[in-house]
Amino acid sequence: MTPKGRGLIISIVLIMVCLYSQPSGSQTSDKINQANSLYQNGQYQQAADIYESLLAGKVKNGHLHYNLGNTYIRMDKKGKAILAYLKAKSLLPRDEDVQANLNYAIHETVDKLDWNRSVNRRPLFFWIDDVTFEEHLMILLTVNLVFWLAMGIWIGQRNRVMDVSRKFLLGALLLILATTGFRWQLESHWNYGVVLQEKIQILSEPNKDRIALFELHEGAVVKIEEEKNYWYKITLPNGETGWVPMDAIAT
Amino acid sequence: MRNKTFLINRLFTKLFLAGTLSFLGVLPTAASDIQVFASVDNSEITLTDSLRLSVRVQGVQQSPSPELPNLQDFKIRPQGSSSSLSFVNGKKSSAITFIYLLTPKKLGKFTIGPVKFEIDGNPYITAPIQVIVKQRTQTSFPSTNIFALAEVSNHQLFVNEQVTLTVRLYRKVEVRNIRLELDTSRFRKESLGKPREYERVINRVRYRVHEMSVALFPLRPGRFDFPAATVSLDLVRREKRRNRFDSFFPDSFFNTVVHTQPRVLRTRPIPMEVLALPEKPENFSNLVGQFNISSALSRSALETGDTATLTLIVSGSGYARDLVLELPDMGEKLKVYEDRPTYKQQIQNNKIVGQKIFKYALVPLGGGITLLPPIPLVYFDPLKRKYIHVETHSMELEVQPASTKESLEIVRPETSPSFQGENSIKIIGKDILPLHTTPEDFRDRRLTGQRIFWIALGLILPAVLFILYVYIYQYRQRMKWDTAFSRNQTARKIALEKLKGLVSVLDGKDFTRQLSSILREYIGNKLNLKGTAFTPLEMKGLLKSRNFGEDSILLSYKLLNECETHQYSKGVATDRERILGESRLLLDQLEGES
Repeated sequence: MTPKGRGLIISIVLIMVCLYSQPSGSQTSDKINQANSLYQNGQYQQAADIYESLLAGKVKNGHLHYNLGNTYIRMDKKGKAILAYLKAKSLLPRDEDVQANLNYAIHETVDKLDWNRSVNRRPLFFWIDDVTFEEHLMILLTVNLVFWLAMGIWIGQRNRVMDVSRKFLLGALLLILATTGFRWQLESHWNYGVVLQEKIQILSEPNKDRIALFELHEGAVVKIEEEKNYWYKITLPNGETGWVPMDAIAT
Repeated sequence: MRNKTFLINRLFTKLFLAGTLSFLGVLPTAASDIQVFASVDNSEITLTDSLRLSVRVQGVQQSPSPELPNLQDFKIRPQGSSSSLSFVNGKKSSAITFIYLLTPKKLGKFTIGPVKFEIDGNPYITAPIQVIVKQRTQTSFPSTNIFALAEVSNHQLFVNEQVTLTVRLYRKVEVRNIRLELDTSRFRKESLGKPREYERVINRVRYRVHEMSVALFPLRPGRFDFPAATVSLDLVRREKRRNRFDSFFPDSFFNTVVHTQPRVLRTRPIPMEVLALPEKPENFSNLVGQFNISSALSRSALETGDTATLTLIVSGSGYARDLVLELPDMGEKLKVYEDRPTYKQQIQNNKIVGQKIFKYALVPLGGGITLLPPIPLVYFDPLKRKYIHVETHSMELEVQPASTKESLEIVRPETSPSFQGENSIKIIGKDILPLHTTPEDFRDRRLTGQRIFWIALGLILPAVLFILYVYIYQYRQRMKWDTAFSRNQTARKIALEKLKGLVSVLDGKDFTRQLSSILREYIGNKLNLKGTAFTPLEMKGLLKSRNFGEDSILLSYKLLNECETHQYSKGVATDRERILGESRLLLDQLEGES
């Protein structure tokens, strides 16, 4: 082997070693264990602080949001609990524990606004809410691999079966590529909010002097349609819309 | 050797040029070369048109976004930026263009003030631009490929009365991503279903019509112009082309290039008058439209402690979502538990028809006959221009003493249904499910650089391997079917193996005879010649006709001549090492030049 070839292989190996070596996650695990213990001992505020600090440190994990939701339920902070459960659900869409606790929390609110029951299922990409972005990526990689394998076989055996197969796989690849992008868009553009105050009035315009259209209570889940000068334009599951100051809603 | 060096030099030259070009792409240009310009595509437009403002920064590769002037009379939609790099007479020229779509809000003469930039600490401004927004000429339908018109079902109406706004997009061209934007701050808005598509002929021109309707309910009285509706869309232009991947994807699907261009259309403002409701009577329900109220009792006779359900249904044309119904006093004989009302809505003849259902659990506290009074509903009918009073029939509820001695247990309406088994389970409390504590569950799900690398590799690597496979497959197929190619490709390998075997040949004449044969066979394979019976002179001509280098031709001529001389002369010593070395050099040279 030439010295250049050896150098190239050594560089690739070094890059791969660097990519494989990641910072130890033991510190995060210790913090999670500590927060779980505090929760079990009834020290909910301290537990919530640790969960919040981990999530603020950009750790992305549905189970962490779920535990935070449980902690806020124990502290009787329904609004924050529902927000945490909603975020947990976006990362763990098929987790029954998350759904059960979210239902429990919504049931405890005055308004009982539940988007799950009111949102129409998507007729085209009906699975997109139940499959996470990570799972979409795995499916994409698998379909991509199978497609190129089929293309390789088609090069050697040009028959009708392989022709149909490669076209079908190409369609599947493009579809899963589109849904992966769509799912990424859904995860990166969080547009739900939860009322944190005991009671707020929803106004007809982003101005405190305007008509109050209806009232919402702590824990009401709303969809945020628009932002304007520190006001949110919100929508309810039944289609009602109105404006509310940003500080009344947690996102 | 010289030719090999030439090839390497050519490769390095290409790499150098590519590197230089990419390097030039990121090099900043001298500040003195920077110029900024602003331009519009049209200086006279109507309220239904949009203006394309292009702000060009000449002489930079990167630029901060411009600071636009105060354009309160326009709605601004950024359309992104584009950069360009060109070389003219060896001089580099680069520019960035920022595009904005301006939609006028009113008529008049406007000045688009200077657009400001700050690049490397130096301020730059563009010249102001005059724009006139004028009234559209009063033709009933514009003669363009695409336009939008809006109309309302009623120009004069009462507060909370339904008015249907219909926006029709007429088009002769392909469009995508049609979005309707309405300023409905004075209204409640309800969807009237999905847009309709149909065709219509206007002035002998056939248009495809995209009709979008919404139901609006005015919130307060007044005379005003309903603001222009904005229809944003992408115009689609298709082009056919062929490319190098056609052999892989011969389908026409991959040979069409689609270009899109954003476009904004505006309708004319519509004058409207919203009338205040006349003096409101007592018990007015805030409903405006035509409504009915009906009632039903789940059972008219029951025992003390049992429950009857009273259902009230208010239905009709109008906005009933916010209706609040208060029951009249039912006296001390009945305890009333209100359930959460449900609301259903459907569309009939482009109008919202709502149905709100109220349910009450009635628990009698004493025996005897209890009279449920009529339940009134007062609404305003805009057609009759007066308040209408409707009510339910009064109903009787007969209550008998309980036949068993069970104590009264009031059941909450939201209690879960009991099991059907013999021993039903009484639910005495509810709680959340416990914490998740499995350590493996808490893996960070972020897309880190490492994960992105592996995902990108997983996406790209199969495609790269496929291309490599196609190359090898085609090479093997050609080796199988193309004899000339196959002989050309294997010529050197065969010749080198035979040259190795020459070392063991002791006799000088045999050595030169075999060497001559090897060289002739090599040249025969390389040039796909039948047989090897050619003289050195003939070989010289053959190599020359195939454009081999002069050095190689002379060397091969010399070697073949030398071999022949040794074979047919007596007493001439053979310098084997030199001849073998020159033969290997000849093979390398001819291989490099073929």
